[in-house]
Amino acid sequence: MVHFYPKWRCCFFLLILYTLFLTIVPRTAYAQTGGITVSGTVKDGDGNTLPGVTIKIQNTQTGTVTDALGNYKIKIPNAKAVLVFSFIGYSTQLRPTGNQTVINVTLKEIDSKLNEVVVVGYGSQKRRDVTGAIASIKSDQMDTFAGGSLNTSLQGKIAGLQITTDSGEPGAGANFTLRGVSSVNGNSSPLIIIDGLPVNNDSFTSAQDGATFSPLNDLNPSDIESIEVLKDAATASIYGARASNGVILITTKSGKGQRPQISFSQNASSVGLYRKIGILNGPEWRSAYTEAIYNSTGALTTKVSVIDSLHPYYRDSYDWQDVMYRRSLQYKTDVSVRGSSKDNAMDYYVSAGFRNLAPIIIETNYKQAYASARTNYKISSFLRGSTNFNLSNYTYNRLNTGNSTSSVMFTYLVTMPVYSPYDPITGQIINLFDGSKPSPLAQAIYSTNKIERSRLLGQQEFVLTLAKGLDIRSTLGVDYSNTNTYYFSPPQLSTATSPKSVFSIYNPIINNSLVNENTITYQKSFNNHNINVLFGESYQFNKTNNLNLRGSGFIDNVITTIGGAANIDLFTQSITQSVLQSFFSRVNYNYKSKYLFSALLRRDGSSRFGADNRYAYFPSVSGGWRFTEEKFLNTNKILDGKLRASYGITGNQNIGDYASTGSYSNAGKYLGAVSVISDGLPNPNLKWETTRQFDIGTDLTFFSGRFNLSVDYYVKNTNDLLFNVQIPSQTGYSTIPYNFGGLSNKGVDIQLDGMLINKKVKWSSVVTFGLNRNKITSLPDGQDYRPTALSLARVGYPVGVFYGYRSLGVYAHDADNVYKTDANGTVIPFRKGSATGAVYKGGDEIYQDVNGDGIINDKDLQIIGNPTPQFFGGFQNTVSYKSFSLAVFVNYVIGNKIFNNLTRSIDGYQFDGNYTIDQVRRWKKQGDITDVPRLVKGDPMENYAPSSRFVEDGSFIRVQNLTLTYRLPGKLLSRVGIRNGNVGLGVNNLAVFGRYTGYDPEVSAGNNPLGFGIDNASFPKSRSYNLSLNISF
Amino acid sequence: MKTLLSIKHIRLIGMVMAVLLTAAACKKIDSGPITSYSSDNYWQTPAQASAALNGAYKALQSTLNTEFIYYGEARSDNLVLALQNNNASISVINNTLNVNSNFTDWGGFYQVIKQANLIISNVQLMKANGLYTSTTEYNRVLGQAYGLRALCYFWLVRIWGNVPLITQPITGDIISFQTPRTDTVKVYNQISTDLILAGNLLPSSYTDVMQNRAMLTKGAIDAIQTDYYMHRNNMDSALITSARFVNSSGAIVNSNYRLTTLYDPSINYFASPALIDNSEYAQMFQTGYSAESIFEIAFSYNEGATSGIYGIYGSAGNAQFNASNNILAKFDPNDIRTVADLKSLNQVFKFFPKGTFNTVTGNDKNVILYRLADILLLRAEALNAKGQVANAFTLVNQVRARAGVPAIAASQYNAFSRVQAEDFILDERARELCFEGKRWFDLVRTGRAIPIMKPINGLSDPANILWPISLNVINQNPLIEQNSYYK
Repeated sequence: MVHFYPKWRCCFFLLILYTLFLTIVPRTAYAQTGGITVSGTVKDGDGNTLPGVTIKIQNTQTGTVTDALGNYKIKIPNAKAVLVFSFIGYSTQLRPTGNQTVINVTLKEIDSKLNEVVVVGYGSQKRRDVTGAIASIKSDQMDTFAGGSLNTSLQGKIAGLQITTDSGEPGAGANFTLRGVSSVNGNSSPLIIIDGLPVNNDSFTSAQDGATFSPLNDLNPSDIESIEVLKDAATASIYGARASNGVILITTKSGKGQRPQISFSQNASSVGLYRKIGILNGPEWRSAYTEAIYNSTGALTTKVSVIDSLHPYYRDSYDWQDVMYRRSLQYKTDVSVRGSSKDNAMDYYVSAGFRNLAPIIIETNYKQAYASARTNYKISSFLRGSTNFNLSNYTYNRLNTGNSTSSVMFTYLVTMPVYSPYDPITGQIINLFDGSKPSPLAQAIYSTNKIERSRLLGQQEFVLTLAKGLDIRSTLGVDYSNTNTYYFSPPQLSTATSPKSVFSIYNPIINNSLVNENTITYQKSFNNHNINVLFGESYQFNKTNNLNLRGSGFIDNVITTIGGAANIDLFTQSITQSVLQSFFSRVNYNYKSKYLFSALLRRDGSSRFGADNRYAYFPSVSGGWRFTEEKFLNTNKILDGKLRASYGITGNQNIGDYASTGSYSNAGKYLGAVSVISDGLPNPNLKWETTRQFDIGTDLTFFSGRFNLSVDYYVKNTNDLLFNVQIPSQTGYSTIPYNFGGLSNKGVDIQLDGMLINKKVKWSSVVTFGLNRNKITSLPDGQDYRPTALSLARVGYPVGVFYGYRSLGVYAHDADNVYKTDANGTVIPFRKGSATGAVYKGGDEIYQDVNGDGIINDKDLQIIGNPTPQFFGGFQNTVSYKSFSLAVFVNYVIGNKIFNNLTRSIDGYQFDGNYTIDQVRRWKKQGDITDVPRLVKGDPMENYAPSSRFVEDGSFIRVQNLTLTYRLPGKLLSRVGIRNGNVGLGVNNLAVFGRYTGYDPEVSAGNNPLGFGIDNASFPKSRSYNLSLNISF
Repeated sequence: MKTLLSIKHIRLIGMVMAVLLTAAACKKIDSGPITSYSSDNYWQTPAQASAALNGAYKALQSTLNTEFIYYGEARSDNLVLALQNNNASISVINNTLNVNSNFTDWGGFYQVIKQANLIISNVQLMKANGLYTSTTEYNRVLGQAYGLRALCYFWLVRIWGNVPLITQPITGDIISFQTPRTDTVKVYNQISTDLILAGNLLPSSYTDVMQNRAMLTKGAIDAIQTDYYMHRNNMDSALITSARFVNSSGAIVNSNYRLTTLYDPSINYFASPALIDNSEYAQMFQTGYSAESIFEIAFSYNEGATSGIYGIYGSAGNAQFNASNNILAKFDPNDIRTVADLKSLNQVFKFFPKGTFNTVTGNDKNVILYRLADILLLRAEALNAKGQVANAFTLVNQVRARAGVPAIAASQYNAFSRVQAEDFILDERARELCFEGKRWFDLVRTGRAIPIMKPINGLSDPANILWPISLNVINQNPLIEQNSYYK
């Protein structure tokens, strides 16, 4: 977007010129008398001439301004005169004249956000002219250490944007919630625009285990110049139908400076598990297991592994977390070259990167290569263009990590501690414990579970300047990805009970998206009126081809790919495509950059909806007032102040491609003939989900530009939530695509940044704060919606509150269970399930009897926690002294609850397995006072039903990054031809302060808000120690 | 900046722009499905209707894969727990079923019913629109759809009692999907009507031998009707429908079916149990599609449909259930069926070869829902109820003769009271049909569930005979009322 600079500036300068002309000209007539004439040129730091700069003689009213070429001429009374050069956005300079007649001045830009150019949809604007709520981060805020990602880079740095990473797995998906949940759609990621190209922003989900991988993982954080987040309707509505979850604009680096600059950076990290979960050791487990069986059957277990503690195979005790996790070394190398031709007609940026992220689970590895190239060129005086490529390729050998009891994280915890990984006699790996249970170690070693993914983003753009201010821009973009998943279940893990347990899966998915956008922009300034008009058209075509092959009958463990199979047991193919066609228009107008106004309208048509509901309009209006430009409000304390307000509509179309038409799909064969099942109910009334958002905010710059404050208050109301709604199973379907109820979000975003100390020691700091209150406003028929056992949607409550029994403790004695005493003095106890149900005994959980009928059943379920935080944000600090600089980044999430389903799953696990350390204090005998109920195999009293016992405080403060950088001495470097260089030492995820007892308080069970805050054991977050070296030539 | 273009250029560019924008405006945004059908282009050809029927069987396949054991067998006295590690099995055997137990969601049956409803409604429209040239094909598809719907509702009412009765394709508003449970009488009437319609439409056999066994035929409908009338205690009707298989002297009159053979005086199965794998009787369970089979659900390794039976029965150290002492005690020491049914005393091996068994490829056992011996013994029960003891025992003795056990002499059965005779026939059913998902329903329909199960697992409340309804079902449809015992 480099080419926007001169244009915007030109426009701006004219404005200043006119202003000055009106105010200063009459006075200059009086001033032009006698003395010496001094002349010169005023330039900016980049060597561009500055027109409109005010030049005054100190302590007088005499002055002038530079002309269109930056030249000035002023008569001074004598050689003692001091000239004052001032210009908005630049630091003022004082120059004694002495005997000079030519004084050339270079004004330095004030490092202020005011002059910052921010990328907006289909263009860019000076921040001071923006009427919407936009937040941005720059390249120096990106996580460039080996394991860093765009997701973690953005975490806590944008007020109002909560990012919860799905796991600590390389490339893990993340859940983005911008200003609260505005959709209950299972796929509510924000729209991502890379260099103007809307890219496929669907998480890639592993078909094997449901683990999600972020589409942003295909972009090298080192190639990013800036990221803008469009928060309100004023800015986001230009992307209409896809904008209600927010829009993230990513701008990659471009060429800069004439001389080719080569940068090289090397990062290495030592990575390990942040913390382990307490589980029982061998003897503790034996006692617990024996008790569980005895309490269930009244008999002692005969399981050899339990009763024979001297058995050579079972006599030792292992914490399987120690067996399966490791400390690993990760590294990343980046090289880039950037520069431009001498006449500035062409600039270029090319880069290549490679990273090797050995995950902390043994026998896994991850390698990724990136490349990018971007060039901007001026073909003739009226035609320019740019070409842009980003490539990524990775291979990830992994293990199942999805949120389920088949995930390896869960497996490691429940593997019985008495199982020895190696045969104590032969020293060989044991493949199957007790003849049937796959060893996690053997699984890691012998099975194949691989993802290979390549992605190409390419874009070609031409801009034709028809007349001054009138541009036609045409872009063609392609987003192509190819994701291959391989899975092989080896004979070593084959058990007789699972048929076809030796099999191979090959699952290639090709995603193809083509975008063509054409816009016309016209900008004009006259008499302090500045107007900018945009018309545009966009056509996007998406196609996904998903092939799934499963084969069996392998002769050995050597050829394990699908080609080695004797039979193809299963094959499915799904090709889906969708089209989005849009027209849009925007008018930006300002008067003297003081009164700002913007209006836009987008019309989107999506093939996903029924013929009558395909098209929708998404308008927005916004306005701003830079009140510090008013004379009557002119104050020295506030350098710049702006009030702004916006209202508009955005939409959401995240639903299956053929949602409105229903579907009949191939369901395999029966007696050799094709069978077809009706698996999708049609909904011809399906339409857009719409979000109406009002935003009012202010941007202030004060203390001579040292501090910036942005505060926004917003109200967002979403209606016709688009969702695959679960319907009763009696229909024979599980869901129907439906427009379902509404919800509202209200909140405040605050961002404050500033230079706290600006002496020898410099300390700059950014604080972000987001507060959101979310509420469901309507549901069909006002009924609760409860698609999962743990979460609930209820009118008047936040989305996804936890639902279960309220736990009041554990009965210490059988006699403690008293519902009431009848007239005869007979005690009537609480019963489970029904009036004839079982009576709770000592050691059973005490559940609150909400309706007071003495029966604990689903009528006693209640809301037991809210996964939505009260507020969240981040705190970035950079302290520098001489060549040293220390950066500390802390993020925080406060006031949310987590449902620790991991503990519940482990201790309530229906198969034989280990238990958590909580079981040490379980109820064992009459009179025990504890909070952990007795262990009974099969849990007949449902002590492990979803209850408040598993709801924990999820608040945390995380020291996400601590990095110390030392700038290498220039003298030393110049000897070896290096211009700049620095070395850094850092720690990522240094410490987490919080009360949550699981692996990490950042838990996400996918993108569906009706599942937020439920910890199902995802890949644990790690702590890494990073070393970095950056040099440039 | 100055104006940089000549008039010629501007014209050219104007034309390009006009073309671009018109092209954009004309782009269509229609995008129909490619690899699946939509409701707009389905039900256009008889082949599609036939594929939808196959889809209904696919749904039935996943609904009764191992579920037939849990619903029909595991709550009875035939099975004991082999392992203490699975909640689903523990709660069924110990009679501690609750709203969170496995198999308490009836959704699977409704998937079949959904397919059937779509077929019934759409093929009639297709016929009206002249899309069917062959009445045979129309009758085949429509008749089977009626039959499958009846079969599923029959399972549903026996498991849960009142169930939502849905007989039309699902359309309309989301709230309209929530319908309450319908009284069993209405459901029974629907089953009866559907079975009669199906019986009138279906042929007694098809050209494909596998279809004769693994798709509904007229014979299959007769069998379901017999079972249905027995369940409803309507002996007269059961005698009429079962007479379509066997005449009053006990001879098989339906040429599509005969009892498979087992007893062979020249072979000592007790000495060499693996030889039984060669018998027609054992083959009936192991490979399926036997002459005795009236209706079974096909499972095929090559079609990616494997049965889970081996995980429930069979496999030593992993199987959920073993044969109980109760059922073992019912067998005569010379009963060859013990060789066919069991391995190492109490391992249930009825469905698997005793010799070489490829547990991977071989585990695609068809689930036999009706076979001739079942119908013969049901008829025997009905005859006994009607006082025709001699005719009843003619049938019982046919089944016994095959198993190599002595016939029950007239002197013996004449000495039985009617109840004693019924007890004997039910025991014979247990011996013949054990582990096939019949015993629990036999106990329930004859009022023996509580007397027999009370000493075993404490079943004492008649309301406890019905299964609980999954909490998920109730959460999704608040109009569904829980069965009283589980409230």
